[in-house]
Amino acid sequence: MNIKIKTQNVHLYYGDFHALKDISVGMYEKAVTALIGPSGCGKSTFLRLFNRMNDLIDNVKITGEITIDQKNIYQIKQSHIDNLRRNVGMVFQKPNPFPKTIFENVAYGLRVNGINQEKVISDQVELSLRQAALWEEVKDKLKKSAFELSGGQQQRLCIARALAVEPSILLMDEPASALDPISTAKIEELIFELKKDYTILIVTHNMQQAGRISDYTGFFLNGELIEFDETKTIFTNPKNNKTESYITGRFG
Amino acid sequence: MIEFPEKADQIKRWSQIFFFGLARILSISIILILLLILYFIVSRGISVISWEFLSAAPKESMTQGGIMPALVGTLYLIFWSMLIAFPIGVMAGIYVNEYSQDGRIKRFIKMMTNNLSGIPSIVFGLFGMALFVNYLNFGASILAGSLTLALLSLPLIIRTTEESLKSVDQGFRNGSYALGASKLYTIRKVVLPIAFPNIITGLILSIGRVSGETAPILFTCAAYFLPKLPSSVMEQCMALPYHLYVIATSGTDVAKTRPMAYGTALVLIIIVLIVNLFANLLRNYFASKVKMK
Amino acid sequence: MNRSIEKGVEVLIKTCGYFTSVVVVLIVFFLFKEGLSFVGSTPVEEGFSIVVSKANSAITINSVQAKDIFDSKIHNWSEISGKPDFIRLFDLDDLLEIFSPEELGADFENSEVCIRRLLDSLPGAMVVVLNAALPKDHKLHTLQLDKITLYSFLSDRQWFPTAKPVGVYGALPLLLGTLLVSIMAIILALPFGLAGAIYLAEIADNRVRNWLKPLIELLSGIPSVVYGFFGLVVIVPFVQQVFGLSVGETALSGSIVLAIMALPTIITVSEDAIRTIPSDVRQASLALGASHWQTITRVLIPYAASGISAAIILGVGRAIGETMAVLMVTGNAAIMPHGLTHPVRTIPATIAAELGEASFGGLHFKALFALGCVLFVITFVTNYIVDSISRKRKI
Repeated sequence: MNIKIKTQNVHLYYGDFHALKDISVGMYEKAVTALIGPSGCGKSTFLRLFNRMNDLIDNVKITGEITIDQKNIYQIKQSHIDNLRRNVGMVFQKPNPFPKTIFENVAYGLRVNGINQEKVISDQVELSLRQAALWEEVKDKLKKSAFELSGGQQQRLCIARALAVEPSILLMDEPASALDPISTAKIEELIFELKKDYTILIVTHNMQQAGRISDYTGFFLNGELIEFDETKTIFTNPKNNKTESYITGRFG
Repeated sequence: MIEFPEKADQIKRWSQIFFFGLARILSISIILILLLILYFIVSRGISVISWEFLSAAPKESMTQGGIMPALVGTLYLIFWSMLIAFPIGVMAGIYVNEYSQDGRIKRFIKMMTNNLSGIPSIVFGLFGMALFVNYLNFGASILAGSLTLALLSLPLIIRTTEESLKSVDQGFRNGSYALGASKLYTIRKVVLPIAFPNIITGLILSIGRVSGETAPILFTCAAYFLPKLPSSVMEQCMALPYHLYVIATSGTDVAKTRPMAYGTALVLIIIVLIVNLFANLLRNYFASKVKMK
Repeated sequence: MNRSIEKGVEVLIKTCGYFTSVVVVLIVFFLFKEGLSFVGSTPVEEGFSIVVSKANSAITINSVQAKDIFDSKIHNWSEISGKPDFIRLFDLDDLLEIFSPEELGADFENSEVCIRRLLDSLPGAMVVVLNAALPKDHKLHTLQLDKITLYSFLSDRQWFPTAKPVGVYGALPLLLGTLLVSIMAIILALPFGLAGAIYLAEIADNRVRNWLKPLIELLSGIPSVVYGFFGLVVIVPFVQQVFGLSVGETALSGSIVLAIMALPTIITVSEDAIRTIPSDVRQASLALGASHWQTITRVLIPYAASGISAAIILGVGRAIGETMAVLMVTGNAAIMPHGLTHPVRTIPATIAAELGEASFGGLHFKALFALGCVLFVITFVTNYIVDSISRKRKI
């Protein structure tokens, strides 16, 4: 398998706060990589490196090298950031649909990026909703407000919205933490399906979830990447005893 | 596969630059309007202000002399209206935040307070005239005017009190209760001292409001011209904002009263500036104190 | 502290808690007591009667027609659906010229007889007479005038409360003047207010915001007379020059002043609505490759739409109730508004300008309270709308 995303000696500072410390890791294409660790350990910040979401915060300083497909994404022209963000989709903790119809939510990414042929848009909306396993549930109410959907449906809508611009990477920041167990199961199933076509990075609090869905797991603590390995190794035979303590539930 | 037009990213960038610039220009123009107002009044009023202007009564049908009776009248109105409104407002705020348990009653009181704050000041004037001047027979007087202004400033005081009480951490109250203190004792000795600076902010802001209101005192208190100071609260008084209105609109010789008007407007602006400065200082002081904990 | 004192203080606190509610009820009571007694009354000047012949007492006219008669614009009974006959007006002075003091009597005790004689010889006559000069149980016929109704009050197109002996109380010009000035003010303020809110909430960095916000608060602290004065010395001449008008005191001047005054409300309330949007939503849009500006216009503004509309309605409500500034710059012509470059008069300005001249308890006085009721209802409704909008937002 190819390495899709790579970081080399990455440090990140919020003002004086050293949030990520010397992180060097490679993540594989078309696999699910889970990022685990206690709150505030830097795993969400790490996730936001890859679509340059951390740029939005004042006083952030990033050093080191971050590449996607061997291209350093922090040395591209400002105008290519949009391109990067289309290539790297993101799904958030809480479902966050836009105050628009179901259809327009999915079409949003296309419209803001200059696609305006209605046929292309409606085909792509259907495709994305199918990929997110939502099409059958919403095909008759595409003109309804997205807020009328249930929480689980909203989250799958947000996944469809991210897929519509045809990314190759999906960043998921605890995508199921605000959902009930049934909706969570559906999202997990969906992730399993999606990894055939996408490179997925998922931040999770839920150890069982990481064990169920991921191929690789990275354990973060206080801004450091303590251990990165295949999921089964991490869960059965961790090399670092901090990892072991965390996994066996001694802290976090 | 979808082909994203590369031009779209350029258009996005340029339109963002354009519209952000536009928003910036419009925002700057708001500040420019404020500065224009301040400039006009300060530049033309500053030469008028002197010790005589502040300490003498208007003379020669308001083309000469000063604004002393109006200034003192406004101070009277501030003093009496705050003396009435402040205790009532603070206690009402305490009731809403500390005592009322029933959500419906709380909502009702909040709604009524909100309604009161939305009532136009001229309607307060009508009400003050009907109730205080006529029905209670106070006549047009400092008392009637202060009562009207007090009612007008109540919502602001109640709301700031409520907000500042709300920001006091529940732990302080629980700690006090745990030591066996009564509710009232807790409020008096623990909650109020912490919330106090912010409550005072509300008081200061209402002083600003009261000092500038004209419509409520038009029929309840304000006198067109009084050469000497009132000797009791049952007499009328002059007031700065009404005085400005009078000399700005109904002077016999507009050109000659203009300097007086600029001076009066400047005094009003200075009061507002001081009030805002104080309120901000207190707010910052309060914020830094909370941070320390 | 002593237990009973404590109890007493708690009762006091509770009483204060309900104080604002009591005040609102009192305001409603005193306002509507006077205002409602205005409806149903006849618009004849207090203490006077208008006497006509028996034949003409069958005709009912409205206050505008009455005013036209006394302004000599209507000359013939046929114009007001009577038999053709000239309308001749008489008042007490005229009676004193026609009849000798002996005929009238020292205390006008024979006035009834004299007036009857006058009406018999001139059936088209209309005599305005002091009630005090007539016996209490006189049998003369009085002119039938339409009573004032809520509908006539709100829909009549003339406002002449001081017309003698019949006042004309049509609040429509004032109502339209108020709405014209206020709505125009919001239209003027909106681009600036929205831009300011967007700038503060999304574009400006913390440092800029920290000095910008107090300045905008300062704008809301400036007394309305100072705005009025500024309007008078700067905006009125400006409008006069730009539009080449003979007078600059116009609806437009009022709108500009009100727009400046409404800015802080619009900015702070809208900014609040934008800033309370979860940052997730903003990030989701950016993560799809949208620009910040696209995010603002296509996601954030629709998201904050209810908050922004609350800000607008609140701004209109404030503008409608604003008195002094408007009074000083709009020219105060109580006529149907002709347009932005003409003088208008608003409801609050009318109350402020006329209450001083209206005799206490008289019809004019009551009419001004009725205007106050109209204002109260308008602000009550705006408050209610704002309240329900912001309640919806929380769900």
